[in-house]
Amino acid sequence: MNTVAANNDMDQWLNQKLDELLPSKIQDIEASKTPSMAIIATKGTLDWAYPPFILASTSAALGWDTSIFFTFYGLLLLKKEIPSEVSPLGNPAMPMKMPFGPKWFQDFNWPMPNLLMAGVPGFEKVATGLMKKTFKSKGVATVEELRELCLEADVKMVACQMTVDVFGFDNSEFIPEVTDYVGATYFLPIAKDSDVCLFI
Amino acid sequence: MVANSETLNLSIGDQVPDARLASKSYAGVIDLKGKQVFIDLSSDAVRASAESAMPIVCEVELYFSCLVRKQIRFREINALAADETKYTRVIPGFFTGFRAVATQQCRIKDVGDKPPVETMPIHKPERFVPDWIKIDYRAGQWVGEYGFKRTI
Repeated sequence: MNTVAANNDMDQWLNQKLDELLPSKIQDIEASKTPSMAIIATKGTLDWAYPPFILASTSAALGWDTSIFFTFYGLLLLKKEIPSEVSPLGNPAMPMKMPFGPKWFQDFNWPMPNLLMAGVPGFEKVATGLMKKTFKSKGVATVEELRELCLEADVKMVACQMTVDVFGFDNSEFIPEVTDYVGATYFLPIAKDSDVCLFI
Repeated sequence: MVANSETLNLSIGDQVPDARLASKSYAGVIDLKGKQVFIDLSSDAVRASAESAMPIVCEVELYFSCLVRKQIRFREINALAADETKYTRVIPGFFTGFRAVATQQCRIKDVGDKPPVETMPIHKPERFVPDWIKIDYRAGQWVGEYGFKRTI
C-alpha cells in the first residue's frame, strides 16, 4: 500500500517537473534546429521555371537546408542551357503586354485570339522574348541567374532518373552540379522530414 | 548618417553598354564581403564622382520578394560614414557595398528606405554577392547593373 502511494507521489512529482521543464526544452530544440525546405519541380515552361528557383534561393539565403527534386518537365531546368519558353495559348491568366513604348502602351493588355496564338508560326518565341524583356526591364533576375544563386548557396539539386530514361536524355546534357539521379523513394523521406514541402 | 542619407537614384533594369565603358574608364577587381568582384566605371562616372562634393556609395541590392530583383541604390554619404568596414572603396570618393533586402509586399516601385523594404538577415552573404558590376553616369543620373558569372 505504501509502495503504491510512493509511486503516485513520484508520478505526480515527475509530471510537475515535466510540465516545468519540457516547454523551454522544446523551445531550445526548435531554436537550434536548422529549418529545411524540399521542393518538387515538375514544370519546364519559362513562367514556371521561376518559382522553384526563387523560393529555393530565398530559403537558402535565410540559412535553410534546401533541396529540389526535378522530375518530368521540371528536368529541363537542369539543362546546361535552359530551353524554357512560355506560351499564352491555354494560359488565359497570362497578360500579353509590351515591354517597350510609353507607359499607357506597356500597361495595355493585348487581347490575343486563340486562333492567332495557335496559328502564327513562332508565336511562342515572340511571347518568350517579350516576357524576358519585360523581366529584364524590371530588373528581375533571370532563371539562369537564380539557378546560379541556388548553386552558390548550396541548394541540393537532384534529378529523376526515370524521367531521364523516359525522355531519352543523357546525364551529360545536365549541369554537373546535379548531385544525384534518383527516384521518388529517395526524395520522399527528405520531403517527409522537411519543415516546408512544396510541389510546383 | 547613412540610413538618413537620401537615395540619389535606384537603378533598376538599366544597362551599361560596353561602348560606355570603352575608353578612359576605370576597371578593377574589388573585395566585397570576401568575394572578388569585377567592377567597371565609365569615364562619365569617374568624372561625376570626382566632381561630387560628397562621397558616392553604390549599394548593390538583391531584393527578395515574390520575384528576385537586382537593383543598385546610389547615395551621397558623409565622408566619415564611408568607412571601409561597411563599404569598399573603388576609387577616391566612390564606394560600393552589398546588401540583401526583403519586403512583405511586392510593389515594384518601392524606392525609399522606409518599410516594407528592409535589410534581410542573409546567411553567408558572400554567396549572393555578384561577380561583376558596371556603373555609369548619364543624363545627370547614376545608373548601373550587375550580374553573376554565367551571364557575362
